[in-house]
Amino acid sequence: MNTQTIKFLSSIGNYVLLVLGVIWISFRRPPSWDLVRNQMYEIGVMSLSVVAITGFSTGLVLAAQAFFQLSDKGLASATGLMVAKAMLVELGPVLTAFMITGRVGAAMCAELGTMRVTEQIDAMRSMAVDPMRHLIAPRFIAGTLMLPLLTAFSMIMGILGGYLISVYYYNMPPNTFLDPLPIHIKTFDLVSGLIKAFVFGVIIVTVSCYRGMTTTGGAAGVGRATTNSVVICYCFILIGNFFLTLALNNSYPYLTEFFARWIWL
Amino acid sequence: MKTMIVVKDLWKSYGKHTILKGLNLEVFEGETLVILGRSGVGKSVLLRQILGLEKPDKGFVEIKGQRVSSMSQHQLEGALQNMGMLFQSSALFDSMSVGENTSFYLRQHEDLKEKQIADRVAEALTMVGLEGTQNKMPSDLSGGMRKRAALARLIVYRPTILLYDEPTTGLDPITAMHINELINKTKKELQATSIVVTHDIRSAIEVGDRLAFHHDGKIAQIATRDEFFKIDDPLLQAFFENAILTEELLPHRSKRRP
Repeated sequence: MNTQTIKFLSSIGNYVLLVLGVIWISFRRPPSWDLVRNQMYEIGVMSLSVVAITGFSTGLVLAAQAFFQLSDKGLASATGLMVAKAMLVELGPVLTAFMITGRVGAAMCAELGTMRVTEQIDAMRSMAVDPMRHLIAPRFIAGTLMLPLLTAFSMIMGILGGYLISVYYYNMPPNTFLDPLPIHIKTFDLVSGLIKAFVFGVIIVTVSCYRGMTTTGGAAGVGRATTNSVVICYCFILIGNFFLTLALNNSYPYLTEFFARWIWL
Repeated sequence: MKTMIVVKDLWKSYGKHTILKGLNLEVFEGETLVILGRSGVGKSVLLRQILGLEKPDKGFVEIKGQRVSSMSQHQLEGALQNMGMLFQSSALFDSMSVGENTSFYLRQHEDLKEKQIADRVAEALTMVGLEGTQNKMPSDLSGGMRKRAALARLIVYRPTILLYDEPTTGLDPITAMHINELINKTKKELQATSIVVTHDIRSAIEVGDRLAFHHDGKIAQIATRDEFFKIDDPLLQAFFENAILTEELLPHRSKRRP
């Protein structure tokens, strides 16, 4: 095996170790609440505006296109359902994850990368403080909790955008937009979107932190690591989304039965 | 004298480059050992090995009889609570103010009230001559002030082993002199065992009880401060002749030299 292959395989191994390590630490030696709260604010609250704009504009475009494409075929009444389904199962989670990768993941990687190359991480370790617990675990807990919440917010904004343009621009009766929703939108749709958001949260935080913690080569190295982490996150999100969609759709009967028995339907 | 740190047959490579090649060293309790050597010979790598930040390829480091490389994470964290390192780049946490940097260790490891933390921080900052800078950010400080703030961050938790990585590099002679004075003062106050890694001979003379010469991954020479300069080793002679020559180029300095 050549050096490049060994390097590639060892970085995959180290990434998996980081993911397992941060999960273990988050449960066994959780970081202080102050650190988690700060990260929740940074990842969640500070991203609200960007997520709102993304969700809302996507809803607007979806409804405009759906109405334009479907109305001459007599299917204009499907506009609401189409917007809601698309926002819940695909566009909400994926677009929110993309925006959070750009806004939060890149900053996370750059911050940790800078700390790494300026020996701040070593300084922390030399003071008997585990960077995994102090730096990565709070971001991991906050990221995995905030992504589903931000996604839910994006879904609501998308449906609201779709509703507004359909009703006020295309003069669709509000009931035509809203009535099919409770009939055709299942708990499964919402939950599958939120499960995706949770997994994307894990991907964004762990990839960004891993690339940050393994940064070498000064300021230029930080730039490279940040670009690299954003590209890897986008790829992981898109590929992961495909496999998640297959897995969730294939487990539809089991999940529906589970919701019916244990939650509500 | 009691041995505090033992380094035995230490090897460390990065890729194809072997940096440490069977390095042996003993540091006694309460002394300041200065390790001199050219840039890039692995002086900082040695400090990182002593702190347990990296694992050796072969050999070991013992601190008070305990082997660093075979310590569990918990044991290492326990050992590190008695150790501190002043990094070459100061390594202040740049998202925190000087006060937060200085109180970082206390907040992580000691159960103190806010008033007690504030007093300890003020005391440490006063000791390094940075009183009243608690609210300043590291980016507002000069290089020398950053070094002093980093030193305050160490002495606030009173470690018994102190490692200094190039403490005077990149500083003007006056600031470097202040840092040397602070190293001596800290040693006296904390009764600490110190290792200073440097290529600044003036600093080595001012702070060292014993001096060692690091060359080609090993300690080539080690002796007390007075005996060190009498060692008849061409490499060592070349190392400090060049350093002294630089000072003798200044005419008024060479006249004043005794």
